[in-house]
Amino acid sequence: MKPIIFHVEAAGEFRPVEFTFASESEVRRVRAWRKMTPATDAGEFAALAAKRWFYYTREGASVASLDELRTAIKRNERAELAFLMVASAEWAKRYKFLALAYCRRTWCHHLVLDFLAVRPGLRFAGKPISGIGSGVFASLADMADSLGMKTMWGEVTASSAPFYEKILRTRPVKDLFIIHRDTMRNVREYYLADQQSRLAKTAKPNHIS
Amino acid sequence: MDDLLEYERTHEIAFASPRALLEARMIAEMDKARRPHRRAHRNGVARRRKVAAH
Repeated sequence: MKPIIFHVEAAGEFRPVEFTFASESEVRRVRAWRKMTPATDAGEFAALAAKRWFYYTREGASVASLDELRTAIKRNERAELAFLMVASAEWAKRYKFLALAYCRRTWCHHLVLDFLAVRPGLRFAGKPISGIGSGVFASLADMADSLGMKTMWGEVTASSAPFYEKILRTRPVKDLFIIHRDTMRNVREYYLADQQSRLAKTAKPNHIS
Repeated sequence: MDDLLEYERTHEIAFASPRALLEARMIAEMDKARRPHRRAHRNGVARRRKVAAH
């Protein structure tokens, strides 16, 4: 399977980030976030998402690739399946994973986003890396659409509401966000259009005299 | 989009569904309860040695 790629801004340049299904050994590494970023929500959520993934795996209800997901759905179209997606980048190897998203495919073929975490304090060449959370969300919307899922949803809290309001460009977002295919496509298209315009700006020679 | 990127720069992006969080915490507690207790071997307490048969 071709990895999903999105781009983030790091030290004034656009750099690619791979977004893939986590294998068992990768989930173990995600669990280690708690030690590397102690006392952060991201660290706690990463450890708990990994625990939940292992629990679902013991029950035979997790998948570690898109092919496995498709096969499991073919076998049982009402299967409830969990998977952990991780974002990584060759140019930021020291972090191993930049972000994670724990998702579920529900019995009626909808996508649920249960955990979304970007590793705190990410820096490249001494500067913060930005756009990882939005890249992950836009990639998930794109993946759900390409899998023929009609709905993507997630529970929203006071701390996540502003993020979802901004990425979905709608207010207010309260206990839940529920988006359908048209919105999934809008999110992806708006995200890509913005990336292209940023890319054009950074590629343009500087004409300031 | 500028607004979103600025938000990401200034806020921790770490979100969990309350239900998923509760379930994960319960799983963590269950795992903890299932793990064998090794307390007796901590804090420098010496392990008992088997007496060699003569």
